[in-house]
Amino acid sequence: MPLYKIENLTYYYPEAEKAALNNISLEIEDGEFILVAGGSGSGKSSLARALAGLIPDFYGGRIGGKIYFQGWDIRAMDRRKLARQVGMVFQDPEKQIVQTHVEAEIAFGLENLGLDNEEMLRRVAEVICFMDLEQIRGDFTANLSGGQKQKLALASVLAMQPHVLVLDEPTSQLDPVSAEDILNLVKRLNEEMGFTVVMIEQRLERCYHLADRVLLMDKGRIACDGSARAVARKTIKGCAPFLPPVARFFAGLQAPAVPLTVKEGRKLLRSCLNIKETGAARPAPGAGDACPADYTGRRCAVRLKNLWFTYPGGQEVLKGVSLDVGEGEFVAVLGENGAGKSTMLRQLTGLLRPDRGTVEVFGQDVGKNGFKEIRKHIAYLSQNPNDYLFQDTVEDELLFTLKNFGLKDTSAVDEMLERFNLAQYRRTNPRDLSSGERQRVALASVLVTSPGLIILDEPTRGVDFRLKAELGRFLQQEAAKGRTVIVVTHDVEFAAEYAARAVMMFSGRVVSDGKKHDVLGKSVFYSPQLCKMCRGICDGVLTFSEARDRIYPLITGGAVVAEGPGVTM
Amino acid sequence: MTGTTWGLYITIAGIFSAALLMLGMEKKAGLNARQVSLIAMLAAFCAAGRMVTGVALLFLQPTMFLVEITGFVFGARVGFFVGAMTPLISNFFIGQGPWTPWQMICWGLVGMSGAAVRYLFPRAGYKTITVLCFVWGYLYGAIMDIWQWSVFIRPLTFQSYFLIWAAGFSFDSLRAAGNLIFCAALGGQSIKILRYFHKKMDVRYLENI
Amino acid sequence: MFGKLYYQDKGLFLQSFHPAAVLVYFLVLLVLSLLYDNPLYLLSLLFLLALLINGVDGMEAWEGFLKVGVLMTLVVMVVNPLVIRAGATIIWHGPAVPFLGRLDISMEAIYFGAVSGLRLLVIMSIFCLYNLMVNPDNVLNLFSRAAGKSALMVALATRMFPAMVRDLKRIKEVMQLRGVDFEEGSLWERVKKYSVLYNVMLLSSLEGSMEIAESMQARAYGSGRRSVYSRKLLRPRDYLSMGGSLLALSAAAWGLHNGCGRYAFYPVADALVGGSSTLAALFVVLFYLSVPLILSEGCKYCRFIKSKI
Ligand SMILES: Nc1ncnc2c1ncn2[C@@H]1O[C@H](COP(=O)(O)OP(=O)(O)OP(=O)(O)O)[C@@H](O)[C@H]1O
Ligand SMILES: Nc1ncnc2c1ncn2[C@@H]1O[C@H](COP(=O)(O)OP(=O)(O)OP(=O)(O)O)[C@@H](O)[C@H]1O
Ligand SMILES: [Mg+2]
Ligand SMILES: [Mg+2]
Repeated sequence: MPLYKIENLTYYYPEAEKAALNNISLEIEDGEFILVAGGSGSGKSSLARALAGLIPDFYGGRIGGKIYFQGWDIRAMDRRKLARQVGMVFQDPEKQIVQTHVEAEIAFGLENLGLDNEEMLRRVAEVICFMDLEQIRGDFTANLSGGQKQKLALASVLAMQPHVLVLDEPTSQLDPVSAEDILNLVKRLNEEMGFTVVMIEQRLERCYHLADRVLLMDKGRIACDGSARAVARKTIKGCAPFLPPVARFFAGLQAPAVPLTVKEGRKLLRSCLNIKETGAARPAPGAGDACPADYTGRRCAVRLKNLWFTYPGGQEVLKGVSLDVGEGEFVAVLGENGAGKSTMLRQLTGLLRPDRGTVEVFGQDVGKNGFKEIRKHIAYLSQNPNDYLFQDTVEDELLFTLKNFGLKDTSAVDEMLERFNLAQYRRTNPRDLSSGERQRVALASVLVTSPGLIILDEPTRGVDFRLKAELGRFLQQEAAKGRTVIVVTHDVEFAAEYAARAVMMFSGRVVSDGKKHDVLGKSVFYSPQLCKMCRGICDGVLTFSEARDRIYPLITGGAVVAEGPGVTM
Repeated sequence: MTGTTWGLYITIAGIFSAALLMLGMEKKAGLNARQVSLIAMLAAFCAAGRMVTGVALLFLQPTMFLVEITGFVFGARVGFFVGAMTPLISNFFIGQGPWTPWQMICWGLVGMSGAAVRYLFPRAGYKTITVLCFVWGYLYGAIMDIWQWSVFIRPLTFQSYFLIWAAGFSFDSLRAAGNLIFCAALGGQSIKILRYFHKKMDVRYLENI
Repeated sequence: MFGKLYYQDKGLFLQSFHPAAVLVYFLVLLVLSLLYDNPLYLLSLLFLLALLINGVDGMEAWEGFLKVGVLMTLVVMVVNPLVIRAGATIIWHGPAVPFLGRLDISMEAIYFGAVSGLRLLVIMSIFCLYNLMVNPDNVLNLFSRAAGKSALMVALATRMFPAMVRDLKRIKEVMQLRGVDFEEGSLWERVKKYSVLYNVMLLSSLEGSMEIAESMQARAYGSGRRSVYSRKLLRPRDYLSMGGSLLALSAAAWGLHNGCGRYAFYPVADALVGGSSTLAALFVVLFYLSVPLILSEGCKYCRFIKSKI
């Protein structure tokens, strides 16, 4: 008997005209590790909610079809019984912690199940050991870091000892290393403890290979379903971009097998290339060639000199940060959680004053209240797009910014709405939009003044591949127009694909700065998958197009180089 | 001397009635997850408003009217909880004092009075609420003075109470003025926003297709 | 600034009591501070509290509380002489005032005002100590058996508060960069500007509350009777201090019944020490009340005591 059996499930949220889930039929076996991928708004979260019994219990709405869990109709099941079996971890760790203290939070679910105290003590102790939370067991939950919160959210679900674990983008805000930690943990749960795992992820390079089975969703339907390899093979033909970069690379080669991990990729690449000595591929054509121009001659847009900063009552966050960014540069700032990236951006905008050191923007010293003079030339997008949305319509949102700066010319509004594909939502309330659309509204509302400096704080979180590509290209165009772009991101692939320069921060210091090939190419953890694959075989490859241009011509194995499908991200 | 124990009675009465009100309200209500998190969130919001914006705007706090509106939109129980928890939460961060129970009762009453407005004048808008908020600015001071008066002042006469009240008159006026301004400026939209979420919370029709 | 709870766990002995024991202790202290009139008794309570506050490293916090206390004391000291006519030693014959009658300021009234102020300081100190000594989370845990939902709401709101303050700051920055000047304009204009901030906050936090509710629901909240997770242990020190508090209360009741601790201010103030029984009663009560202090000090210097409690 399958663990889950879904028959013709169709679901509409209350007052929605479009079905969030459309005639879904699905069986899930015990012990499977399922990865759910798909575009923004394709119904991934809705499916997860359905599996956890939150749809329609919590949301209401219209529903058709049946979901059986272990042969029971999920809607007829006792909620407590279901909750014992199915645990769900949500996307935003900030919005799922209830109690004030770590230990109490882990016990919260157990209390709800009505367990007795001894049982609870045992389980809490177990989970704390397993998840390695001993250090913070008595801490105030509001003060935990993002990664700790995410771990805690997972721990508090694990304590309920569920059978099935449903994870909705559990690593969206984590740096690559901590994300890896969580994913490995999930893998361990699946392999060593027999959990059935259903995981939603946008950044496939991190978890595609972990999954036994991949579901691709599109417009509320399941577009593709099968083992990871089978789906990879299938999607290669259909040119769908839901593949990790390694697989996408070989898609164009019509290779006999589809590699999913760096290891497999390297093996296959070696065999294809027929290279005896590694590194003998055509010498790297000067790693810098990919960067269009040299910036030394340009005017300096941002100059940070020896910046030190400590939050009141905190530790030192910035320790001697120096950074020069020329006009027209596109810089990606990477680094672990809590490295001080956001803090540096706030110094840049003049919102925080450095304790020591100077900040110059467009040649102007950002002194006290300096942001008042320079803010007309700065577009700043914070980590949370919801911070920007409060007007009744999307259009008003853009007009609000214009009005504040006393700009009368409202033609920019139309242009921006066109540009970000928001024209049809002009009169919609921004709070009714999906997360990707909200992101675009927020972006449009800060870019409407055509600023010279664009600063984005993690614009890629929870954003699907298509929007990411759109955003990346947009920013590249802006940079080409002579605007300066600074993006903080945890998404290495995004940085490698679109930025020209990368800056790595580590505990308040800039530890590496330079052309992205120098910075990302040499890093172990902060390097894109293709770079890892080509390292030692053909150095200096970061992006897909580079890999294609440099390696395809070398292929000697007789494989035909197929241009076209699956090539652009 | 006689009346010594009044201070004790009033203090104990404050603590117990705050506790009993909370308990009683809770026992009557079948609060589900949505309501629990909504109440907690609004209380945290009010507490933050009470603590943070006070300094920037001459100690005027954009909070009391929101508690009132919460009661107006969500009913007496939610209004009471949000009100009663507001001072409690903020005092966790700046220190609890002997006044906490009385503050809880006062704020709770503010929330309940909002519900009373809706009950008495179902068609009332934010103007009625604004007037009530202004009155509460003074009333709040008047109630809060009872404790100080009963514990520290002898004899317990109307005159002595009046003097204590007069001593705090300027603060009360500031509070009342703040309530008036904020409610006039923000009342309308707050009612709109809260109504929107009220609808979202309660209308959960389920249909099979 | 609002990122931390007022209570900070410093791992001190005095912070290790069971919340029930501490609550009983504080209730007794509060009752006694309200019942006693004798300035000597109040002073001794204040002295005891000072020692305890010192024991939890709270001198700095105490200063803050005392400042508020002194401010309120001044009000009390001004109001009392204005309304009290019972004192015999008149030091100033004032004019007749319409509402209050003749303003005769007596020595005793001032004295009473001062003692009331002292009482206020004692009460402030009790709360100061309470804030430093008890983890509010543990108290909530204690109450969650009786009022689980309220306790949960308080916990959730307490946890959301710092996040809310952080959000507020962040949104304010975002608004400033979008061209809103919060410092400029008349009061009304400024309130209008803050209304933008307020709207964003309210919308975001209400949306957030739905997400939290969903997460609670997914963890079986409201699916039946809840149990309570408690991890605090009752140790001998808790029984000792609880016993001490109750004995202190009964001793005080007995003393008050016999006039120890009572004090008449009017028409002429009593002597501070009415007889040896006054001192004896005071001593007994103070001894019982200082059980936690004695344990704390004993623990510092004597391994034997530490191992037994
Ligand atoms: N609470 C809700 N109320 C109404 N409509 C909703 C709600 N949540 C989602 N929807 C709608 O349902 C559809 C599917 O949303 P869902 O959240 O499942 O997508 P998703 O694949 O998880 O997207 P994302 O990658 O952005 O998280 C979307 O059109 C969305 O607008
Ligand atoms: N307002 C604040 N007050 C005190 N400390 C703060 C404040 N904001 C951030 N910090 C601390 O400063 C450090 C750096 O924070 P910052 O937000 O700059 O990190 P980040 O690199 O942006 O991390 P992330 O990738 O998680 O966004 C962290 O340790 C954080 O706890
Ligand atoms: Mg989603
Ligand atoms: Mg950040």
